[in-house]
Amino acid sequence: MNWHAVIDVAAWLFLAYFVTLGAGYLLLNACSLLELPRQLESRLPGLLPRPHSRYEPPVSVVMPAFNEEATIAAAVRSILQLEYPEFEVIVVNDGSRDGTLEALTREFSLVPFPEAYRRQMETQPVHAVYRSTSHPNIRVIDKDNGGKGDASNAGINAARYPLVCIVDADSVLERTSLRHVVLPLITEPHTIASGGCVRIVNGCEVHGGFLEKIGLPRKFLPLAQVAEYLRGFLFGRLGWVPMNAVPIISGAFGVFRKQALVAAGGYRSDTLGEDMELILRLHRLNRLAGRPYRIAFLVNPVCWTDGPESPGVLRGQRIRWQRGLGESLAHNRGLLFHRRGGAAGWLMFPFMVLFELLGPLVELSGYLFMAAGFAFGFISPAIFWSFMLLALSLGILLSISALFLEEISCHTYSRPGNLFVLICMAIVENFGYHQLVLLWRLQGFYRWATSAPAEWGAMTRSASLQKDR
Amino acid sequence: MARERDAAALWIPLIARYMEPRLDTLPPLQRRDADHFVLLWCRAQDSVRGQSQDHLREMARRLGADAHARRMFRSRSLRRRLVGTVALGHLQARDLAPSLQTEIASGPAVPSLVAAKALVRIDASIGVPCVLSIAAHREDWPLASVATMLKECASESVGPALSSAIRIAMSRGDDVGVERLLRLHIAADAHAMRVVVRDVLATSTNAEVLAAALAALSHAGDIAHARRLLGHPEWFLRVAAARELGRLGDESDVARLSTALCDSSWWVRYRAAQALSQLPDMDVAQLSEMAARLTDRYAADMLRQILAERCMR
Repeated sequence: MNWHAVIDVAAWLFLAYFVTLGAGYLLLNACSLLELPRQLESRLPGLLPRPHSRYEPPVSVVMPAFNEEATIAAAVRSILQLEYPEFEVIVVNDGSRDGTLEALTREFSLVPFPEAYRRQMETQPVHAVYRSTSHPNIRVIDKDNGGKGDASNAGINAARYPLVCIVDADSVLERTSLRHVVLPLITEPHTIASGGCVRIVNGCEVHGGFLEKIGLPRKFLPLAQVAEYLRGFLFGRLGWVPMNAVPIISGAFGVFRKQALVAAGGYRSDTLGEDMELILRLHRLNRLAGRPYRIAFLVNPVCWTDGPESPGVLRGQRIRWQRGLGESLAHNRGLLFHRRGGAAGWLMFPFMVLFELLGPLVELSGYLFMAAGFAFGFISPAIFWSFMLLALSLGILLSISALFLEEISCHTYSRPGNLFVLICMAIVENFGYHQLVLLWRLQGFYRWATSAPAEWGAMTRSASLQKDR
Repeated sequence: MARERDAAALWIPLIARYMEPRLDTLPPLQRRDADHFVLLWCRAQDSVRGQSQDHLREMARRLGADAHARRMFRSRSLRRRLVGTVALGHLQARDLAPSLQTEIASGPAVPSLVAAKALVRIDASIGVPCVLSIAAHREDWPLASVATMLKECASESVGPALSSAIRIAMSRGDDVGVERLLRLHIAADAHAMRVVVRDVLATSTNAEVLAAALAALSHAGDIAHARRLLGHPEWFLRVAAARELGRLGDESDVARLSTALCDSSWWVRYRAAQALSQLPDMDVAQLSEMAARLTDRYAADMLRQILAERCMR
């Protein structure tokens, strides 16, 4: 076989990969379209009897915090405004080196509390438990630094209620979010976890932990993330719901049945993708044991989170995510093609490996190979332009279809100008931004593959969030 | 969207006015607005009680919305059918009871729940027993929604029907059904439930059923069952028993609750400590003294936590 033939075969393989990738995501889209009416149907206002508040189980909201002095008080206030009959807030100060604990003490009048701390899962040492004298449902656990997973486990240990909601300290929840996200756990006895959509808060007006006005960010990077998040949540997760194979419930906002969480061992503290790892582990343990279970994802409970505005911070985040993905998949490889794996083991897991984990490697190689082949004349213009057209139009198609799903489900960005901006963004982000993110993800893949030491980096909060929250 | 907005702008103020008796003329209900009107009208019905509901019914009849709701009820669109069902429930269309019963028995979760809600509104004497018999075994019916539905009826009418449904489930040996039905006790009159709850506690051996029955205990005279079950091997039953002793117990329970403070389960210790602090005449000084006397560290820690909680309340 001469080298021309090798190049031809490689070119066709890259084309085939992109076609399979597109087909896979379009199928997920179709599944989302199947699931959406079911979720919208149950939302028909006033038609179904509302759950009686006595049956809405009390929820322990656990908020791990590390160096969140600037935003922690507003984040807790945002939780306190939730419409839900009974809940407690457990803030876990994960060895912060700034004034997080002092800010909480000042804002919520904390006093030391003689808690009979229940150690269901091992964590870094807990120094003290505090309780608010102004808000009896707020407790703060002060512990040594152990990472988000470790802090979440400490919060779960202290949780008094049967449902545990994990939220990020930089998130803003809509008032009804908790009530919505808990519904599957009330209505379906086998549901062990439930998550909702996460959106980018940059560009919105937030005052004192309350989301007052929804808007789009003006800067390019957060705007591109708005389009990305729509794609990621509206079919990247919703599409897996009918198969009970949701791969991840965002660490920013998810509710779990505490019993299931503790039985699974809680969060791992040695991974950067503890939220995904936990969900994959729940799939693995329950599928392999043949236990009936369900992991739900809903489009309407919305949690707003701060999107990085600088390339450096965004790069760090994407490297961490990709590395976390690799670790999560590796830790739960027993699910892959297991005879009891079901849709999670036979569809979702291979999909995540092929398109999410290896995607950056194959896609970027494809772009480089085609560009080099075209430049040096090894690849015909017809194949090159077909490839570019396929790759770019696929990206645009997927972004537009996510926008379509958003419009028929939540209609969050209701101003006509917003929709126009998002459509433009869905097109523009495919010319450079998408490829840049692929490059960062490839770095994350490399670091995972070579087991380079993990680093969290520092998250810089957007100015509006710091000022107003 | 624009049509929906226009319909809302026209009809919401009129619906609000017709919650009071009025005789003035209404604009004709345009066919294109009829679906929106029926939905707005249903929401208004859900938000009012008593005579205002009668006035709104009268308004719907004057506008011919009842006929339109029947057309919606027969529609092939699920959404229209559901709105039609709710509207006809509010309009108390008795002739629909048989079709609703069929839907309740065999329809998917959402339409069957909507039908159940409509039937209970049309005729509680048929609807409540029908809903209870189905709720006992339909796991896709959230008890939280069934309870809301039953709460709309007079609790005196729910109590006997619920007791009777529990007895039927008991006679069939249907533990799951008995447990589900017992958990609906909050919608019923406690006195009407007392005998059946006592019977379940006396005869059942199923821990889940016993826990549900304990939660339905309403009379201090029946507290002996909670005392007996405080020593049950299942921890969640001991938790339920401790909780009920805190609610209905007396000073004679101090010793057994003190023993429960040394339980191996954190939750039993927590509920026992809570129960102790809730007992009549149990003050902070007595609790502190008890905590100081305890030799079990876990029991003492728990009592100190509850003391701190009580002092911060």
